[in-house]
Amino acid sequence: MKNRQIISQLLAMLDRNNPDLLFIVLNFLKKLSIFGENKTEMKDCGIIDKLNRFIPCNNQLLLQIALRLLFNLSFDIEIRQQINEAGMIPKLVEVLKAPGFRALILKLLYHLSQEDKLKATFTYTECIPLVYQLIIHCPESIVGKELVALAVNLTTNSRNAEIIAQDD
Amino acid sequence: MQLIERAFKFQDTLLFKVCRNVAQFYPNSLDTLENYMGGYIELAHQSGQNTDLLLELLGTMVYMPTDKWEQAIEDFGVIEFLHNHLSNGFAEDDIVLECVMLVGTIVRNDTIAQMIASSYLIKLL
Repeated sequence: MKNRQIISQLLAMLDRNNPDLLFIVLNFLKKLSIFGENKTEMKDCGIIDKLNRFIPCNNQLLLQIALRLLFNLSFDIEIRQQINEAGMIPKLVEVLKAPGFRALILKLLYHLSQEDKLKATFTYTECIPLVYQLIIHCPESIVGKELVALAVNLTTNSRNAEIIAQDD
Repeated sequence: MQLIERAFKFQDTLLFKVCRNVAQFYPNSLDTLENYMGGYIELAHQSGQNTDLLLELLGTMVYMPTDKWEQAIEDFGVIEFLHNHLSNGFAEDDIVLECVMLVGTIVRNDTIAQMIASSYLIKLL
């Protein structure tokens, strides 16, 4: 796969506008992203800039598959920083407002919130009030692991801790 | 504070961890935390084998530097509680650490210092 430069070719196809093609390409990339060497190549080819246009996206299928790919990629520290630099965090928080992709986005945001530098980015989004509301209104007795883990990570930043305390 | 209330209601360890972070990184939350001090000590007494929960409770109490401790020590037997955990040779290291830090937090005035000095705590430390 790697020898045939399939990743750079697939990435080039992300600039097209046919939804069916985009869906297949993203799905393929998602499956390839499971392997570390493919992920590194995607990173080097600037996949984050290409994915930026899919978040948010009117086509729910495309959005879902793009988020899954992004989640696979978010295990990498450099990619987490690229996601931040591309200004995706506020957009992800915007998608979090709708219930559809919450579980997926919470996992993704949890990965992002591990970085100290990125915690400050969350301060200026609606993420903290939203996470607070989700915890308070959680119907289950024990709050979901991803949600509370995100809250734990975010509150290690003093500004974030202040926001959550003031919401209370 | 709805977060603490929910944490108490369901005894949710991770939610207590969120409260602990808030207490640590936002000292102005002390006024609210003070009101729950009794609850924290009682739950710590009851936590038994649930050391994860106990760790979060102790960790939060460390960030309650208030004069209410003098009363709480008498009401809830805090010194005996710390004594039990410090004298337990099998206690986990992080529990011991939080206990030592808590001793540092509660020694706020002469009366408490006197109480601790006359107890066995110092020898254990």
